[in-house]
Amino acid sequence: MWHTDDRSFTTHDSAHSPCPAIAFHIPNTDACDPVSHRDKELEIIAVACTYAVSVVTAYATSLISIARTHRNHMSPIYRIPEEVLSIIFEFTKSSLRNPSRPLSTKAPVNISQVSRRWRGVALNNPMLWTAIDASNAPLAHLYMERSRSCPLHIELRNYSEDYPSSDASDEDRHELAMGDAAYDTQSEDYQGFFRPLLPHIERWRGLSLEGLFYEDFETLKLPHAPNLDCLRLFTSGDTALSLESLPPHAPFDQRLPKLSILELEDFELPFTSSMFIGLKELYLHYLTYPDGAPQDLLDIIVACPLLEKVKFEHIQLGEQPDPVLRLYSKSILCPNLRSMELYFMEPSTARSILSSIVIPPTARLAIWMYHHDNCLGDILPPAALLAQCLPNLFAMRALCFEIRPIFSQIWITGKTCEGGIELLQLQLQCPYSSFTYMHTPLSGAAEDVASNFGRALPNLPVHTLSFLAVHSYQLSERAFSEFVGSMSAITLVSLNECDAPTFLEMLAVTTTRHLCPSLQALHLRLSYFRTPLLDDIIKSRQPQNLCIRITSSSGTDEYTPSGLESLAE
Amino acid sequence: MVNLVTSDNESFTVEKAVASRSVLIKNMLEDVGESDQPIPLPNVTASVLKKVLEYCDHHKNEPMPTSEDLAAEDTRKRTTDIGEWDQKFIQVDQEMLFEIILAANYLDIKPLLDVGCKTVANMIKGKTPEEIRKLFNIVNDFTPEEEAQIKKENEWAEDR
Repeated sequence: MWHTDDRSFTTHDSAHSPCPAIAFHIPNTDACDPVSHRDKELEIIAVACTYAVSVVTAYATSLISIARTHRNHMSPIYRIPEEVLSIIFEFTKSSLRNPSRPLSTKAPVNISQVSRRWRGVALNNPMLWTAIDASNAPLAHLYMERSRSCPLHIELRNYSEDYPSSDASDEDRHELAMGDAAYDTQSEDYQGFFRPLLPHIERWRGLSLEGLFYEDFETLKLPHAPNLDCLRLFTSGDTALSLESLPPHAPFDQRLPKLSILELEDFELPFTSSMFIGLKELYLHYLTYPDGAPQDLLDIIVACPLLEKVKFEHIQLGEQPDPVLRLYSKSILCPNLRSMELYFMEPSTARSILSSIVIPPTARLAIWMYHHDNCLGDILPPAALLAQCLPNLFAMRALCFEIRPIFSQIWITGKTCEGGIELLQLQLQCPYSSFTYMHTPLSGAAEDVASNFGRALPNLPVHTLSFLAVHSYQLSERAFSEFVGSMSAITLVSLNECDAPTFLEMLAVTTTRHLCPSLQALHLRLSYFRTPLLDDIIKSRQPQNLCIRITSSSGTDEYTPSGLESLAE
Repeated sequence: MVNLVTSDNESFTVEKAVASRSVLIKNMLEDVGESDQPIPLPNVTASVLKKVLEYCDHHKNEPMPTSEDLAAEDTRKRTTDIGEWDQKFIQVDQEMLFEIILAANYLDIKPLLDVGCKTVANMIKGKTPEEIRKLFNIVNDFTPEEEAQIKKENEWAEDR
């Protein structure tokens, strides 16, 4: 109210309000007329009131925020200590992998926007903010700040629309389907992606690029990344790249990082590049080097004495070696090798590689190839070199022969023991036939592989031999006998899901045939047989030393167990 | 055999190999030596310990993770794959899930802690903040300033 002296103002009528009145007294120093003076005073009072309201509102909202925080502490998940919450958040990082999702549903952005506590934990864990990709690129400056000094993993990849939507699977992302159009370098500011990252280049640990066009190499000359450890370069589908030779320093300007991991797909980095030196992991897919030779691949292996994992897939080389010659006078030792994968390579190239190296007995060898006659003999080293070059094959004690008709494939896997560590994986791809279930080419291939297995891999000390989904019409008794007969140390034969009574016939000892002389156990699971066949096996061998286990197999009847028992007695 | 006593005063007698999956108990046993004295576990209730011991019993023959294993795990990408048995084991309500995580953390059973953390992580993945709040019964307690910052971040994210 205004007071009669016209010089002061109180906020309340003190006579009717319990609050103490605050008096404003603004002297009229410029001696303007009283109305103007009051207008000025009112303006000031209005500003003061607005400010007061905002202060009260802010205080009230902060009180509400505090009250909500208290309320959140009653939620069961708030019992989890912050250090454990931080571990949980690190596990959510794999949800980065689904690029089709909006950023608001991906870690660490989603978890940092849940509540004050979650945000505090997320912002205090720099490891959550180290992966930069096309989807979070607009927030790169935040990621750079929040990742502090941690190593960065930069990924500019594209993915197909049907990229798996589930986050549950964490298999190697590089085996996932890739499309041909995601981070479009034509429409995106490609240089802009790297701009906020370049000042932090000393922190780059991993770099994965896909969709590069030839002209990108003209403009994208990355400076030296001194700590870059892993480089993955993938196809752009740009034919110019395969026509024009890439500089050996692509995609860098000149000075190259010293890498541990290099992966190239449809990106023919010249073999002369120093990035092929000193690697621990090397993955080359779908490359064509018209002037290349198997010797070049071996030179890379020689230049990487600490190599642990290597994969060569669909590499086309202009020169093919003489299949009987070793390319190196001395064997190349690979003492640290844990896995070598040769997928759909020219047999002579694969044979040159396998005949020139020495891998540890614990290493895993995976060979996928198209089937042709005597394909194993064409790809594996000659018998005289086999034990020296591939001692891991002689550490196998369990072998499984499997036919997958839907995929028109034959699989042979070898392990240290049943359920043990895999040492060999052979996948033989046959031409697809709608009659695959019945006849050739799959059964012809199975016949060929089984018959020639012993010649390609003689005297394997295998104890356990399993057949999975192999049927009589796919594999003759002759091929079965040759396959089984090549491994004299077998003590256990297991037939799983096999409709192959003739296989059992072959296991009975006759005057002219004695397969598996050390056989101690025969397991039949979901397989068809006839009881008389078991009679023959038991009668022809020492039944007291033979254990037969039958599980869910047809051919048994209620008399089978008692019949077999009486035979054993 | 080892005698464990829970916070609600229930006793569990278990094989040493089972109890020793807990680094806390293993260290206590090593410090105390051969003794019949019960080991008090004041932070674990009977219902939770029963569940934890079920896990320890199932995994009792597996090698304990070494410090090298743990260091290697920190450097490689953390995955959220969970074994088949562990998945079935951890299918419990949220309250029990968090109790198991707390117990695993207190008893220092790293593989069990990881199973629990991975399970929660899998629940979080692919969800918006609001969906996460709903899932775990959390309310938005950001101050207006924090809300403004988040709004700005979201605008940057959409600015493509």
